[in-house]
Amino acid sequence: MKPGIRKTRGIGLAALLLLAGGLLLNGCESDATAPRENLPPPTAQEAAQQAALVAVSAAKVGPKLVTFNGTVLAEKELGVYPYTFPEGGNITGSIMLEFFTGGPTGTHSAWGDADYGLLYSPGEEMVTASVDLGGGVGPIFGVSFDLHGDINQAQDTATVSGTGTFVTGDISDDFSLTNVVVQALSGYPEGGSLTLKAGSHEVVVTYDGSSTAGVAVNAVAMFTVDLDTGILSPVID
Amino acid sequence: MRIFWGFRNFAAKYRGWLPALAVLVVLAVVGPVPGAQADSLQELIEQVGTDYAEAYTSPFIQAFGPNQNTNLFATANIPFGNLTIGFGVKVMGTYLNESDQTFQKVVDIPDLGDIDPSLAGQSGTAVMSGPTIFGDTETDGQIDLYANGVLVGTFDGIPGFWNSRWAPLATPEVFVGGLFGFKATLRYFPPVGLGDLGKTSYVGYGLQWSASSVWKDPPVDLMIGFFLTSLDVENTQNLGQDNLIDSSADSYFLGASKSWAIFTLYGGFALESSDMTVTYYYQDPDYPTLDSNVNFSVEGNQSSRFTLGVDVDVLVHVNLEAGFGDLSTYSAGVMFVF
Repeated sequence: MKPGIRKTRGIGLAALLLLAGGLLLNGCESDATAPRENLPPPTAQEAAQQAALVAVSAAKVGPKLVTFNGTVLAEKELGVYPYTFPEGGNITGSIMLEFFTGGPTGTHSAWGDADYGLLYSPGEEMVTASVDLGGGVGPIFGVSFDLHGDINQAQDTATVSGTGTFVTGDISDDFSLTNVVVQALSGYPEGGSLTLKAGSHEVVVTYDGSSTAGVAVNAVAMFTVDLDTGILSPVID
Repeated sequence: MRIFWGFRNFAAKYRGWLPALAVLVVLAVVGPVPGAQADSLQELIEQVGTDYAEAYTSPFIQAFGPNQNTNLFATANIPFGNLTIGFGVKVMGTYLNESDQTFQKVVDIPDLGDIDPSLAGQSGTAVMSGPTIFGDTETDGQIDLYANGVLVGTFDGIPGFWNSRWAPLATPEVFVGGLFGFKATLRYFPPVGLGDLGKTSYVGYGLQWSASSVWKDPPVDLMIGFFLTSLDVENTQNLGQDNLIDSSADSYFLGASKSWAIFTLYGGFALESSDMTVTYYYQDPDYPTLDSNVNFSVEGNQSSRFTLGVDVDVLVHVNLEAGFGDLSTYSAGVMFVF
């Protein structure tokens, strides 16, 4: 091979290697240019509104532990009942109910004999309450529950505790219920509390048997919630 | 070496076809140009308002300026007294970040009634997300409205226009140079329909001067120059607006090169800028009362770049180039030089 031709090939190869080296050095990918923004953290009022919707849902769903009287068993297993809220009502979605005698370590029984119950959302199911926050604002959200509690058949009440998740759009908050006393009569819980964490805020909703419940944000009583509409009203000192 | 001489003979025999071949190769790499899609770019974008359109078109806006400022020279050696004329075609593409195929933008809305009249008087937040102009053409974007921390409405956005990570551009080019070290370059195509992109026109011009014309036997050839471009896409709504897209780009560069036989290795540094203005009449698909004029301008982020390239003289000049700034741009060119 002639020296000149060899030199030419070498130079060309060096040029291509330099080009390839530049690619590797800088990377083949450009900087990102499209916006990638996230919702800002919730304000105290927004956190309170989210908790209010959970409180309304819990007040409407929880009493099913004492009002249920269905007959369809899940896979013919005694004491295990699927339940779908009827269309057109103020709650939509499906839940599972399990009833026991002998407490949490007892055996499955029919709902009318139970002294202990579970109420939970199967799989990815969520329930949602139809509420009107006024001004044409109908919130779009879902709530999943994982509750358990003692059932008092004589008084038609149950004291439930447990956890759950609230989802609205891209927002997802966890919550817990503590000793919420649900009843068959008025539908408004007689006592107990709900705690929801939204961003840096902790919201506690306290039931008192009336149609409203107190809403405290970060341990400060700020609102009351109407358990029929989900509308928040500020607490006036 | 047989391969090299074989290619050289091939190039000599088929040199008339090389520009078309170059374009076809690039198109094969970057993907098919959007042709018979359901919606043109105009038909897509007029369905969304300003905030959505800005986010949706952001990769297009940011990539187009660097594309226009690419492959402006392939040598820093411009003769002092040897008239040279060249013509050919340059193709270039900006390789986008993968995340630029989707977007999410959050906007505070003083009155949600501006998006959904049923929510008039309520303030809130809109979260707009989905494919960008270079994203999935089969998936619609989404606009979610939040009031007081809760989702209160959701609407469809628009799908991507062309699912690709490459933002391409191709342009014919002519130059005249070789007098006193100067070289004038022109890129131009008249208004021409480019499928669903729309009727597009493009013009760019610039001037270069080589120090090699007065600096005898330099170790490397040096050159300075500038190039100004403008690209417009016609608005077909016939409502008296300006163009759908008006873009311009400027580049001021310093180049260096060194040649060995048929190869020329070149590089450079450029200061550049670009901007794009988008204008159309927004037509809300659900609420005609929300129809309005949209006009926004965005400046390109890229302000400088380094360039590295190689040119091979095989009867025609074939060059490959890479440009590195905020965005990575790649280009190839085929020029007949006389």
